[in-house]
Amino acid sequence: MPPEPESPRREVVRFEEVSLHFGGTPALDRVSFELRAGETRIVFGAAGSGKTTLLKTALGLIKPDSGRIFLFGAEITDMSEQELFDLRARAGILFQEGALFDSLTIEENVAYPLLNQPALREAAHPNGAGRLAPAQTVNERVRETLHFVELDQTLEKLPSELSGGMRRRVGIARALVTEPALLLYDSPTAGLDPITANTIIS
Amino acid sequence: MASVRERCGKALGDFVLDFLKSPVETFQDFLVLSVRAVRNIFRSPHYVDDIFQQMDVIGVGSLPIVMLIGLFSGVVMTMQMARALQQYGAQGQVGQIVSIALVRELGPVLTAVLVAGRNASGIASELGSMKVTEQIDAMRALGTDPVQKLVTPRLIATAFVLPLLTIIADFIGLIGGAVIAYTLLNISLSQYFTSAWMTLQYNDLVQGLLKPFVFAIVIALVGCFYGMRTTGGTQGVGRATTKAVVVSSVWIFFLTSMITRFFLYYA
Repeated sequence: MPPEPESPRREVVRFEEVSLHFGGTPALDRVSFELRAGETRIVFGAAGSGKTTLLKTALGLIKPDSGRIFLFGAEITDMSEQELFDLRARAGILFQEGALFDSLTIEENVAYPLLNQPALREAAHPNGAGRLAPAQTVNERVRETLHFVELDQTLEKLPSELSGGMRRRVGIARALVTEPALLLYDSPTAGLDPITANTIIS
Repeated sequence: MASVRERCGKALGDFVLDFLKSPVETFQDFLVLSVRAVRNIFRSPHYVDDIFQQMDVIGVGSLPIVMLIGLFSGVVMTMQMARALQQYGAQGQVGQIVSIALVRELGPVLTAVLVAGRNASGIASELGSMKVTEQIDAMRALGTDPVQKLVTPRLIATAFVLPLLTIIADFIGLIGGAVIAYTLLNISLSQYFTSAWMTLQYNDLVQGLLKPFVFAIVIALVGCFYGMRTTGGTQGVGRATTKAVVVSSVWIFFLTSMITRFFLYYA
């Protein structure tokens, strides 16, 4: 089923009776919900209750044992990895621990989705699939996004040189840089001091 | 009602099936990864920079140790073989035995075992660390196929540089042997190199290059496989690293037996 273009109030994510077990332990048990464009949903739960699993399942990073998942109107339950890349290009995710690439600089981390997502590359070069987006455009966009999270002075640093809060903000910048239609945040303020948490929330 | 014999048979069958389930699943996952990695060689995008970077890490990085081991294996082989040949008055033919042993077996196997110890472990620990810190998931979420980005460049790089490293190890080994033959055994360099060169046949060279190519595929894929399925934090990374070295080393010795058998009896 081809993905549908999103418009206000159009369905973005839908879970239908989704269940997932890890070695007999249920992580998701017949979860059903729907998220429409413009809406914000917050999931509360104790540690180990399946919040991270829910987000990863929504992007097709983990396959459910049963049930159906729709992302931007397309069923992704049994979709191949190659097909999923195009859909994932329309979503951004902040992982719980940031999941920054530790061998890349902050600038390279934030530029990564712009340089590697096939759909974005093709959009930048409609006649040249596989070619990269113009370096200047990428550069400007990266600097703009890092400025937004107040980290524009860290371009050349490695993730290990930043504090936990700063790394989390770089993760947010990487999730935002493609201006995705869907943003998933996995515990964006977990383990941070209240001042840094407030900075991230604002 | 089932007899005791039938129940014991069923229990034994279940036990064997459970015992075999895990290795069969592991081998199946390995084959899936291997097919994807090889298929990606012919698919865009190609991460050429990553391939060259891996060639530098695996090839240039392993060069000093490979040269050193090649040198000493040639030295030791010459001393040991000269002593054995002396009994038959054929010490002058030591170059033949050293060159055949080095080109056919010692060069490919020793180089591969070294590279397995150095690079299969490196690959497994690097990819394992990425796995446990969710970097592999992040890569997938950000539109990159981890097999295309991480596995295929390592496979291509290893398959390209290991035969080259083996040629260098063979060459240095022959030189080490020549030094011993000249200084300790009073064999002239021309006699040593002539007998070493003349004894080699096309079959030996093909065997000596095919083996490192096959070993390279095993080292890269085994390292990547155990790295990509790492679980359990830093301890898991350690386990993956150990498994990668052990499994790739065992495969190297198994495959060299198979290839030798093939060349001796069929080629």
